[in-house]
Amino acid sequence: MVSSDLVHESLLLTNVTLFRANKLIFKDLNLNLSSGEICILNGPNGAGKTSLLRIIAGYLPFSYGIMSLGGHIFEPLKSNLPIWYIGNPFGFHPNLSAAKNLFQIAMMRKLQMLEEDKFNIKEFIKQPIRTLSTGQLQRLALSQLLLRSNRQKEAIWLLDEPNSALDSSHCLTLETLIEEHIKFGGRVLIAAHQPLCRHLAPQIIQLKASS
Amino acid sequence: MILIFWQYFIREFEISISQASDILSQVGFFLLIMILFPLALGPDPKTLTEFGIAIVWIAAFVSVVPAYDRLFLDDYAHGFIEKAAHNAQPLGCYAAAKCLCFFLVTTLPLLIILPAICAMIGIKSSIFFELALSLLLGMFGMTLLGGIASGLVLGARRAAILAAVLILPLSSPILIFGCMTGLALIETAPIKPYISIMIAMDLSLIVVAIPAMQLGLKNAIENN
Repeated sequence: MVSSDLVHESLLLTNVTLFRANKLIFKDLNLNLSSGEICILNGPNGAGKTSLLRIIAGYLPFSYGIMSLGGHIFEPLKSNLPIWYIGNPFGFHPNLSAAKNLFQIAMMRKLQMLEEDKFNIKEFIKQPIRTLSTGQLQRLALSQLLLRSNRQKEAIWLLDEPNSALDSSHCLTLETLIEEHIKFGGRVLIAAHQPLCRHLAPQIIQLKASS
Repeated sequence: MILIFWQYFIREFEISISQASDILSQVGFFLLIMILFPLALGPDPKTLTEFGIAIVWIAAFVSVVPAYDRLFLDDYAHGFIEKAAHNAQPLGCYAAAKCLCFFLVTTLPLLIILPAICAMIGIKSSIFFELALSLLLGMFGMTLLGGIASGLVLGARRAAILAAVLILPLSSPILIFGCMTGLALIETAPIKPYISIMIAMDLSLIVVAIPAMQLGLKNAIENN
């Protein structure tokens, strides 16, 4: 458990190395993400952008290195620091409606349902997930970030290609949302091929293609 | 904890309803085996009743075992298990809700058609409730075993065969005591000892299965 005063400390990845199936994905990666900071991961396909996000989300164990928060080892799944990994697969069941899927996530995290519909998901909220388009799915997934509670201000957002299927107006919504989140002390880590949030002067981490 | 368990249960139930054809095909399979056996054995009522109990149990087992490897597979592929791992409640809570729902939607349809089956193989209707009780207890244990196997093989190749190979040997005590209950019923001998043993097996399986499924699921996420 991370005690509540630690959630504002910076998240540190020190010399993190990842092997997958005996193949080196990245080596000695360092990252310092403080409260209110944004970081963008760049790199070709297979460079380990998604893997890095999944490591910070706690889904993927890394081979060497240290991940820490305020001088303590950081275990994402046991931490009370909220983490949102938004990437494919989104965790929705294809046969249930969008509303039910979102409600399930809100219940699991003990959050309130949406107050504002920034991504215009009302138009398809009753449809089962299997009938939605990629862009609609992405909007629904991003709507999870709008589920509010008083603990979500410090949340780490891990966004994997969040704007790959969004239209330009929703891209703008996303950028405003990220800007707001950072202003209130949140942290954002984005893996993106398309430019996003350049005006916020993000840290940029360039990952090389693994050989 | 109870609230989130209930939420998971409702979700599972809604998913099962949306995939009702799965349940129907499983019941159909059970019915088919039960119809084929009398045809193969011949119409002699004495033989039928003697073999009947064993056939009911084997048919019930065989009809559900193929479904076990898919128990967690959908949620795994859709990334739901990862989302559940972020929850303050342990993954075991999700797995337990899933197993309970699976148990109910697979066993209750079998119990509904059981009176017809009993009539077909010449089992007296007076022992129907005791037979249903033993089947209920047996299938509950089977579901927990299935949950363990399904959690363990999640993400592995040839998961279906692996799960079946894991489950079937472990299920033999349930099969033995289940059939003994049924045979005792026909001979109007006391069934209490067998039922007690089955309850004991189910309870101890609950204790083992929930942490085992939790570990299996956690492992599967990391291997994704």
